[in-house]
Amino acid sequence: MIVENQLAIPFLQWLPDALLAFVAVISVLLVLGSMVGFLSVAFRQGPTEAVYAVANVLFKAVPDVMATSPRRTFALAKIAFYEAMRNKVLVAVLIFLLVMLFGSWFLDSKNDSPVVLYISVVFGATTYLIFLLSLFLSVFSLPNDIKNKTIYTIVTKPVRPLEIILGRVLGFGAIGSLFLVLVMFVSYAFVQRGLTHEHQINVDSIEEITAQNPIIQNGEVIAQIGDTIGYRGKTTEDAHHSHKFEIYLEEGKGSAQTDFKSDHYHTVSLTVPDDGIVTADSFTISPPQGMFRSRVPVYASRIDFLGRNGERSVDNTGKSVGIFVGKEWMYHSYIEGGSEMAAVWTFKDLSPESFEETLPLELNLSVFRLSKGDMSRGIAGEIYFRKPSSSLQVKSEESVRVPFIVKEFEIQSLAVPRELGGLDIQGNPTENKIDVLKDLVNDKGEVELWLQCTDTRQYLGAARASIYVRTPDSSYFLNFVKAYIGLWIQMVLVVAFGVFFSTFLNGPISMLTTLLSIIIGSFKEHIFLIATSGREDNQLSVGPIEAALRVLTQTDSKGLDLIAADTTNPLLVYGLSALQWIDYFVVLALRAFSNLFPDFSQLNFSNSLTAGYNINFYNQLLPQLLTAFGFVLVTSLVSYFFLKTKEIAK
Amino acid sequence: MKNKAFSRNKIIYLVVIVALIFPLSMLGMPATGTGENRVASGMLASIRDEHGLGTANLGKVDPSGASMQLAMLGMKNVAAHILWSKALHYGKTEQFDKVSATVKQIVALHPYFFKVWDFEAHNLSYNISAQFDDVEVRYHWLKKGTSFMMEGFEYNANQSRFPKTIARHVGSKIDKADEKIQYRQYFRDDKAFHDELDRMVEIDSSRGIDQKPHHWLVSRLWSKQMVDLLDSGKAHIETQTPVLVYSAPAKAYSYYSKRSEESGHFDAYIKNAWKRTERDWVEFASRSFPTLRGGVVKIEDLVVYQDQQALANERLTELVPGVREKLYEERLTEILAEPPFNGLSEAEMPPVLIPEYEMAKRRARVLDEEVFLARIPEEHRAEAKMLIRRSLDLSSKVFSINQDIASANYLFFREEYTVEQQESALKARELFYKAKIAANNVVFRGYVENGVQVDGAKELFEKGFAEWDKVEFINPVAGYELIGDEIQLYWGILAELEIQFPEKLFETEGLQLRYQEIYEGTIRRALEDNERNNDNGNNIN
Amino acid sequence: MAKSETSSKTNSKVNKSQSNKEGEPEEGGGGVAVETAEASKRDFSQNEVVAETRNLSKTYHDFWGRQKVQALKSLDIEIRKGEIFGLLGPNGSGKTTTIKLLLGLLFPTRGQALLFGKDATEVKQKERIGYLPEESYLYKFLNAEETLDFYGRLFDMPRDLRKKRVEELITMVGLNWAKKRQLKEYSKGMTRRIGLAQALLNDPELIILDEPTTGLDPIGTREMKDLILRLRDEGKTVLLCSHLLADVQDVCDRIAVLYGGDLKEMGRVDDLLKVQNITQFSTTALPEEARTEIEEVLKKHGADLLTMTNPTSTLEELFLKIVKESQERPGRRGAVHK
Repeated sequence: MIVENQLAIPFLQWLPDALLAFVAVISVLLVLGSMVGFLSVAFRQGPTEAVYAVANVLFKAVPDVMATSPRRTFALAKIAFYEAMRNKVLVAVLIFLLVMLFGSWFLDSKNDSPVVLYISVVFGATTYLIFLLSLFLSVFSLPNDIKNKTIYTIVTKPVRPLEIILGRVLGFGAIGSLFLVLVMFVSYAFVQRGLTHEHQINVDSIEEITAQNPIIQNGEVIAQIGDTIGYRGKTTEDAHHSHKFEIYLEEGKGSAQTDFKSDHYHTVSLTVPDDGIVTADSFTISPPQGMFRSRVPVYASRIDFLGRNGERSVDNTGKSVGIFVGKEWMYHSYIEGGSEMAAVWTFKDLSPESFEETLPLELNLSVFRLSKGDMSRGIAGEIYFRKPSSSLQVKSEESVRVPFIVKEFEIQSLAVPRELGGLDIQGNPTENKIDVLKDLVNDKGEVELWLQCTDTRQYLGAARASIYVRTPDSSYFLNFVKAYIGLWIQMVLVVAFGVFFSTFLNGPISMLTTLLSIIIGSFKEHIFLIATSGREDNQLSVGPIEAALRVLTQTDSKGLDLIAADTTNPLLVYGLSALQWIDYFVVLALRAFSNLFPDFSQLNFSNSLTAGYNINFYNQLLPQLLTAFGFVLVTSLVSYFFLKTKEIAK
Repeated sequence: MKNKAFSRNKIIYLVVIVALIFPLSMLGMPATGTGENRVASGMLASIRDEHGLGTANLGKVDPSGASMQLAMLGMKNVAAHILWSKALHYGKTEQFDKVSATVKQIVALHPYFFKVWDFEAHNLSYNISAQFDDVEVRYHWLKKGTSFMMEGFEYNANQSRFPKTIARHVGSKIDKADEKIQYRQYFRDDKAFHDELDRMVEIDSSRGIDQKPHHWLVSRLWSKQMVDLLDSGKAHIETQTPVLVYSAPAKAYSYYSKRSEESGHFDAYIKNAWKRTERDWVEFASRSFPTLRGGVVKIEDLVVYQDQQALANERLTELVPGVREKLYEERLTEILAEPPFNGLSEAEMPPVLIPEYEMAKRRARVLDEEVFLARIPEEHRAEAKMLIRRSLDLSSKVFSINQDIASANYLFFREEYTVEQQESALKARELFYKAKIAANNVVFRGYVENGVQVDGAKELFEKGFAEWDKVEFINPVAGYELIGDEIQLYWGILAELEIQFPEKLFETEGLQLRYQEIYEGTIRRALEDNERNNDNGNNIN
Repeated sequence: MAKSETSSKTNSKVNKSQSNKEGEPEEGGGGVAVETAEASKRDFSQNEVVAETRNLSKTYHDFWGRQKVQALKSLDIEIRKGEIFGLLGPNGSGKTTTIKLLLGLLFPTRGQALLFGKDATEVKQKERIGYLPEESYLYKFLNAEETLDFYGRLFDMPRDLRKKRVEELITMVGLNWAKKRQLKEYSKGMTRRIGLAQALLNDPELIILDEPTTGLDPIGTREMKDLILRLRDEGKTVLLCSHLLADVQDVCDRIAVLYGGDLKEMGRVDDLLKVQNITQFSTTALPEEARTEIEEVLKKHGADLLTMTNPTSTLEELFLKIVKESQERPGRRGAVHK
C-alpha cells in the first residue's frame, strides 16, 4: 500500500520557500486591492479623491490592526459561540451524523479491507459534515447581524473591524473544534468496535506437516523422515474471510502468525495434548492483530538505480531511474532480474543504539513479470549492505546476500540481523561476521542497501519509500488525533473563507462562493495540473482556445502556432498571436488562481491511518498548520478592509 | 369595489382548485401494497407498472443509497463524477481496495445504469485480478467482479445485460483464462460461492459428473435467465445481437459437454450430455430471428427454403427454357465489348484479366427482371413473375439464415453434437485421452511388458483415428476440425520418434481430403523454412 | 427688555405640590414665576464643538450610478459641549441619516461629519460616545447582565470596573428585578432601558439618542426626559432626534429642523419659539377685579391685555399626579374631581 505524500520535505527545508511565497501573496494582494479600491473611488469621485481615500485606508490600517484588543475579540468570539450553539444547524448536523453512522451500519462487510472502508467512510462523513456545519455557521452570521442591525450597537463602540472578523473566526472555530472532538471519540469507538471478530479452527483443514528430511539441531537428530513436525490448517470463515497458518512444534508446543488478510493477522498457538491427538480444541486463536498500527519509518535519504552496465542510470533531468515498464503510474522504477541492475538506498545516521540485534526492514516492492513463470511462487530478490565508496561502481566492503521472496501489494517485513557474514573489497568472504551498522558505515554516517532481482525475465519495481527501516510504532490513537487535526485545519479554513465572503456578500451568495472555494480547494491539484498539463517542471500548458480548436479540428489537429506558420495573411497571423497571448494569460491566471485557495486534499490524512503510518508532526502537520494560519491571516486582513469600507447602515 | 373583485376572484380560484382535485387524484394516486398485492390505483402509477418504469419496479431499492443521494443535496452527479475520477486514480496507483470502496459509493448513487456496474465488474475481474501473482488471489478478485455484477442485477432485475455478463464471467472467463486449470478447480470446490450463486440461480441443476457445480452449467443457467427475461418481455434486447444472445445457453452446454469429456469420462453420461446439447441447439434453431427486411426466419427452415427455391427455379426454367442462358450470353458479350476487355473472347483472356473476367461473368448472370419478363411469352408472364418473386424472397431468407448460422457458428456446434454422441466417436475420444496421458508420461511408442502389448501414444492415436473414421458426419470437413488438435499432437509424437508423417490417414473421403490439405501445407512450409535456414548457413533437418 | 421667560409648562400651583426638580429659589407664595434652570439663558456658544457636520450631503445611488434619493443636502450644524441638541423633522427628512453619518454607519457623499474634531468613521472616538438606537439592536439570547458585560468588554473595561458599572447601570435604569432574564422576554420599555444602559456604560461625553421617547408611555417618557436633563447637568452633551415635538421642546437647548434633506431652521429653542410680541406673566391667584388695574398698567406701557385666565396644567402632569397618588393610596378614587 502506497501512501502518497509519505515523503514530506523536512520542515526547515520547506520554511524559507513558504515564507517567500507568503510575502509574495501579501504584496500582490496589497497592490491589487489598492488598485481595485482606487478604481472604484475614482469612478465616482475622481482620481485625486481616490488617491486620498486609498492612502487614508492604508495608513490608518496599520495602527488600527495594532490596536486590536484581545478582550474585545474574545467577547465577540463568545457571542459568536453562543449564537452558533443556538443555531438549529448544529442540531441538524448532529442528526445528520447519526443518520450517516446508522447508514454505515450497512457498510459492506465483505470488503477485503474493512479498515480502509471504515476509516474512509468515517472520514468522508466527518469531512462532509464539518464542511456543512462550518459553512452554515460562518456564512450567515455577519449578514444576519447587518440585517438585524445588531451590528449597529457594536460598530458604534470602539470595535475594530478586525476584531469582528477574528471574533467570529475564533467563535465558530471553537464550535467546530468541539464538534470535531466529539466526533473523533465517537468515530474512534465506531471503527474499533466494527472491526473486531473471532475465528475458530476449521477442523477439516488440519493437516500434519511431516519432515521430508531428517532435522538436525546442535548435532542431534530430532526428527526423522516422516515425523510430524508441525501442523497446518485454515481458520473458519468469519467476517467473510479465513486465514491459513503453519505451526512448527518445539517440544509439543508452537505458535505462529496466520497470513495477512483484510489488514490483519491472528496468532495461533498449539499445544499437543498428552494423548497426542490433536483436535480443534488444542489450538487457540488470538483476536485480530496488527490492524491498528502507526509505523514510524526511517526512510533513505536517496535512491539510485544501476543500469545493465553497472553504472548509475539517469533520465534526461538527471534523476536516477531504472527501467520504464509501461505503467501509467511512474512511481516505481524497475530493475531487471538476473542482471547487474540494482536499486540502491542510502540510509543516513542509523544509530546502532536504536537497533539491538536486528534491523527491522519493511519492503513494499512492485513486481512486473515478463512471462508467467511459476505462478505459485513469488519473485525472488536479494538484498545486501554496502559501505558507500566514492561511487557506486567502485568496489567496497559488503555484506552477504540475504535472499527473500517478494510479496507484492503487501507490506513485507524482513528482519535482517545486524551481524551478517561479510565480503571484503576483493569479494572474498571475511572470517568473522560484520556489524552492518558499524563496519559498513562511512564517515558521513551513511550505509547503502542494495536490492537485486534474481529471477531472470522478471522485474522488481522500487521507489525511495519502498524499503525503510522500522522504528518502534507510535500510538494509533495519537495518529488518529493527528489525522483529525488535519480535519480541524480544513474546518478553520472554511470558517475563515466563510466569514471573509460574508463581509461583502449577502448570506446565500457567500454560502455559494464559500462552497465554491471548498470545491476549488479540493481540486486544487487537479486545476493546477490542468494549468500545467501535469508536467513536472510546471511549465504552462496549452490554453483553452487552442484546446478547443484542437477538439474541433480533430484529425487535422494543429496548434495555433502551426496554423500561424502556415498562413501568409498578416491579419490572421496577428490574430492568432493575439489568441495565443490570451491563452497564455488565461493559463497563467488559472495557475495563480488555484494558488489562492488552500489545498484540501493535502489535509486528508486518512490514508496514513488506513495504511498504518505515523503522521510526522514536523514535516507533515506543522507546514499545513502554518499554511492554514497564513490563509486565516490573509483572509482576515482582506476582510478587515472590506468591512472597514463597508457602509453598514446602507 | 376592489374588494368585491378580489373576493370574486378568490371564489373562482377555489372552485377551479376543487375541480382540479378530481382529475389530479386520478392521475397521481400512488400504488398501494407491495409485490403481488400491489394495486396501482392512479393512472400514472398503472402506466408506470405496465412499462416497468417505476424505480421500485427496477429492482431493489436501497435505503442507505437513497439516503446518500439525499445527502448529496442535488449534487449527485457531481459527486459521481468526482468518485469516478478517484476510482480511476486509485486504479492507476494500484490501490485496489480503495477502488472497491470508491466503487461501492458510486453504485450507491447510480444503481440503475448497467454501464456503472459493468465497468467496475470488468475492472475487478479482468484488470485488477491480473495484477496479482497468486492465482488464488486472482480467482478471489474474479469472484468479486462476479458478485458485484450479481448485486447489480438485484437492483436492475429487468436488464438482460446483467445475467449476460455474469454468464461470461462464470463461463468463458473461468474457462479460457491462462489460469483456467486452477480456476476450474477452485470453482468446483468453492462452496461459499455456490451458496452465493444459489440465491439467484438453482445451483443444484448445475451439478456435473462429480456432483459439484460445473462452471459452464452455471453459466448456462445465467444465460437462460437472460433468455427468459427477454422472452417474457420484461427486458428489451436493445442493441444486442439476437443470434448471439439466444445461442448462449446452447453454447454453454456444448462447452460443458466438451469439458466433461476432457476430464476423462466417456460413458453414457457424456452421451446424454451431448444429447441434451442437441436439444438446446434444436431449440435454438426453432427460434425466430428478425431479418433485415423486417420478417423473421428460423434456422431449422433452411433446408425447406432451399428446396422451395430450387423448385421455383426449376419451374421457371421449365416454363421458359433457355431464356436465361440467352440473356446471359448477351450480357456477357456486352460487358466484354467494353474496356478493359475490349472485345476479347474467353480464349484470348490474358491471365492478368482473369479475376476481372470472373467478376464480369458474375455480373452478367444478374438478371434484370423487367428485361427477363419481356422475353417471356405473354401467357407465362404472370406465373414467371410470381416465381421470380418467390425465388427472390426465399433467397433473401436463405441469405439471412446463413448469416445467422455463421454468426452463431451453428454448423460447427451442430457437427460437434451430432458426431460426439456416436459410439465410435466416444471410443475415439477415450483412445485420444489415453494417448495424451501416455504422451505426458513420455510413452510415445508401444512396448511389451510381461508379454502384454502396451500401447504407446502413437498406437493409441492411430486406433482413435480408425474409430473416428467410422463416425457418420454431416460434413466430414467439419468433422476433421473436431480432431484437428489431436492430429497435431500425433504429428508431434511422430516427429519425436522421427517417423515420417503418413500421407493417408483416413478412409472417409472428406476427412482424408482435409487431412491432405493440411498435410501438404505443413510439408510445404517445412521445406520453405528449411530452404531459408539453409540459405542462412544453418543446417536444420 | 422684559425678562424673557420660557413658556414653562409648570404651573405655579403644581409647582408647589411637586418636588422641586428644578431647584428654584423660594420667594414666598404667589409672585412671579420662578426661573427654572431651563429658563436661564444658557449659552453654549463658546464651548468646544463636540460634533459637527460641514457641507454634509448624502445621496443614495442605484446600481447604475443614477441618483435615487437625496437624503441630505449640504448640512452644516455644530453641537457644542454641554448642550442638548435636537434634530427635528418629519419621517424621511434626513435626521436619522445625519445621526448615522455622525456615527460612521454611513459614509458621506460630500462634505464631512466630525466627532470631537476627527472624522466620524474613526474608531477611537467611539470610546467617548454612547448611542441609543431607535429599536433595540441587542442580542436577544443574552440576559441583561450578560449584555452589559459584553458591551463592557467591547470598551476594553477591566473586570472590576466592568462589574461595578454593570451593577450601577442596571440599578439606574431600574432593571434589577429582571437582570437574569433573557432580553427576548423584555417589554418594549424594558428593552429601551437596557439600551440606555448600554449607551451609558462607558460614561460617554456625547450621547446620541435616536427617537428616545417614541413608543414610550407617559411615565417612561417623563423618566427619559428627566434622565436627559440630568445628563446635561452632569456636563454631558446630548444629541437627540425625534419627531415628537412636544418632547423635544421640553428638553432641548438648541434644535435643528430638517425637511426633505434640507436644514430649514436652527437655533436655540427659546429663541425660536419665543413669540416676540407677546409677554406672558404667571402670578399667584388674582381676583377678577385686578384685571382692570392691570389693563391700565399695560396700556401705559403700550400693550394690550390679551387673555387672563387660569392656565391649564398639562395632561402629562395630571397623569403623573394620578399615578403618584395611586401608588401612595391604592384603590379607587374617593371623590370625583370636577
